[in-house]
Amino acid sequence: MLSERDLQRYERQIRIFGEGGQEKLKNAKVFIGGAGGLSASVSLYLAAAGIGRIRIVDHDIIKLSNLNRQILFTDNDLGKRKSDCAGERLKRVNPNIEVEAVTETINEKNVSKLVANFDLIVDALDNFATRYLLNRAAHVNNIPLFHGAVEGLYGQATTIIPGQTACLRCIFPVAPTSSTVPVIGSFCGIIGCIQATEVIKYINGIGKLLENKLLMLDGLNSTIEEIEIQKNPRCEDCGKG
Amino acid sequence: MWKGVDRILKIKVKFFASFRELFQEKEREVELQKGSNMRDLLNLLCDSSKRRDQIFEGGELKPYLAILKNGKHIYHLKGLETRLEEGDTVVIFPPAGGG
Repeated sequence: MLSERDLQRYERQIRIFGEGGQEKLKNAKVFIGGAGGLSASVSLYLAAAGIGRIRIVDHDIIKLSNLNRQILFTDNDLGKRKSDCAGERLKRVNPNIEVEAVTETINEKNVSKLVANFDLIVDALDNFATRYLLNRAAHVNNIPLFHGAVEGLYGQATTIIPGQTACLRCIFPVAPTSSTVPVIGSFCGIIGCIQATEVIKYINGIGKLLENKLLMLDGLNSTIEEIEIQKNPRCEDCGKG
Repeated sequence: MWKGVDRILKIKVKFFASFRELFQEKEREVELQKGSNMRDLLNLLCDSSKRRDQIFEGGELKPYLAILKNGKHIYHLKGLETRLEEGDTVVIFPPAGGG
């Protein structure tokens, strides 16, 4: 049930999907893997939109070189845990939602437990090895996964619905070599905003999602295009193996 | 004349991300001999050492590149031996991995 304050707070978006839609956001539980550059915009906008419960997971501490893009944090947070600072920031943005900050490295052993009982998973990670873990957990637990990644002024996003769409391993069967990549904060923010919008649309059942479509953003040339993608029926994560 | 046309297949190649700079174009229509495969196509496209070095590693494809034939990654097909057919669309790009 929405309060009078909720109705005022979310008035502009209730005009889009109604009070029922806002109720859906309030009842939604979203898991966010990573509290870095993508997560900054995803988590802030999901918190502001009134997602009822957010769990944000990261193992790292805040370094000076993070601050060009990880706008959840300030200079005063250097050396502190990312998840803790992210959790505090999200609670300040929206005190009416539940935020749980978890300082853990997502691994094969804990991933299913971490995402259990969540309705949606946001991939705001910085490496494919962990992305594959979330991809598999999403399919084992039948939870939609919202992928985003960025490198330089190029980025991609897609929405993965278990049982229906191509999964991350169908599209990218082999992980790129893990390394720190060049990133401009504002461009990272664009990809994260696309992921957040997909989450809100999915919860409300509105519009067309990036299902079986890879959105390709080219910040250098200011273009956005889609690539049609197909499921691999023998995929080890989403197919018959 | 008829036989010549019959032996040619036309496909579309689309480049994304940094490969647009590498290949200096967004997309290209390519004519190949019938029976050609992905290796033939990539050999044709990689007409400089700079381009070859971005696609191949010791004669084999760099494994993490996204190379899709009609939306399917060639890793799930027959890799470089994947046959190309008239009207195919091939998409090539290096995936973004950061966040």
